[in-house]
Amino acid sequence: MATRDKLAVLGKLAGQIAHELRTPISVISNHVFLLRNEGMKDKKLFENRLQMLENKIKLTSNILESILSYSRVKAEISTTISIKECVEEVIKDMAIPEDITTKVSFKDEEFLFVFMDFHQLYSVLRNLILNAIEAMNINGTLTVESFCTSNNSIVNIRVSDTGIGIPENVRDTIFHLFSSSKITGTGLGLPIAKSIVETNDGKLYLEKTSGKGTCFVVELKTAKKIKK
Amino acid sequence: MKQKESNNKPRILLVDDDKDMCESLSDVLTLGSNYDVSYSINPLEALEIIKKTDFVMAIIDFKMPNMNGLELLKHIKKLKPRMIVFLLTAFISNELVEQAKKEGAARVLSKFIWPAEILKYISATLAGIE
Repeated sequence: MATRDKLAVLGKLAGQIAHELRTPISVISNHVFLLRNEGMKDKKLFENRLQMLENKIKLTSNILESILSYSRVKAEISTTISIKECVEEVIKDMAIPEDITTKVSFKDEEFLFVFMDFHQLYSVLRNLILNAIEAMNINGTLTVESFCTSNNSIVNIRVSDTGIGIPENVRDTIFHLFSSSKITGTGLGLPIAKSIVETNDGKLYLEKTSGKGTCFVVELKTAKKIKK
Repeated sequence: MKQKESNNKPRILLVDDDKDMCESLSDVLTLGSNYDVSYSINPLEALEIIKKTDFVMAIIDFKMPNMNGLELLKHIKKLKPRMIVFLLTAFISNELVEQAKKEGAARVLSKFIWPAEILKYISATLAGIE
């Protein structure tokens, strides 16, 4: 995405970001006021207020981190990049809990190349894999598969988990900005990932979700120049 | 609708789609202050509550799904013209302040307001009508 497009997107987001940050900050400020006035008379209430402070601080920090990670996506240098290398690098960099089994597979390896910025694809895959991990409590399986379709003209990357699934009431809005069902979710990860994929003429969609797991798919055009 | 207390204290209704915001502000207003506070996280539900209950004041958020704070303000004023309404917003613009005042808002306040300040504004405004 060109810098001017990125700035335009960020400009459009500014109002929403301000609103999303000010609400948790107001809640923090209310709880600090209440803690000052109530003291520790009621230990349970005191602990609840501290927990709320911690959640809201995490939320504001996550919102800022998401915005920063977006702006940190380096100046786009589109090159022919290997899906395999990108997936492996994301997984290597992530602290995947030991009780989660990770299955990674690549088919049609000679065609698994796309022409885009490596850091952008990295941030898309990282977001999908992070969501998958967060959806699983214990003993889950994270599966990342990549293969080609449409006469090897489209690269598919499927990221699936065996987690709790996306609640029905938020399924229609998962790609909307600031829509999140997680306590400390920012609602920025998926919309930004989708925007990156679409800017690169691709698709990012939810293939399925249920109480048994969720699967997201990224489709991108195969790079014309195939790098061996 | 959640209600904190029920007695002869001035009744205030909070409307914000963020439940944590409603609960914490409601705690602030009931702590050491003499208000009877209820809240709703849905502007449409809030209108139903207002039809049935006499509140002296409503403190409403501007950005909400289904209906924004300005629209809610217009509906409130149609139903209860004497009800005092404070509009809270993340962005205070002259245009919004003008529009809100035109529709009858008593005050437009930044959403990032210190609890002590909002208590001060409430007591000053209620003292003004007594």
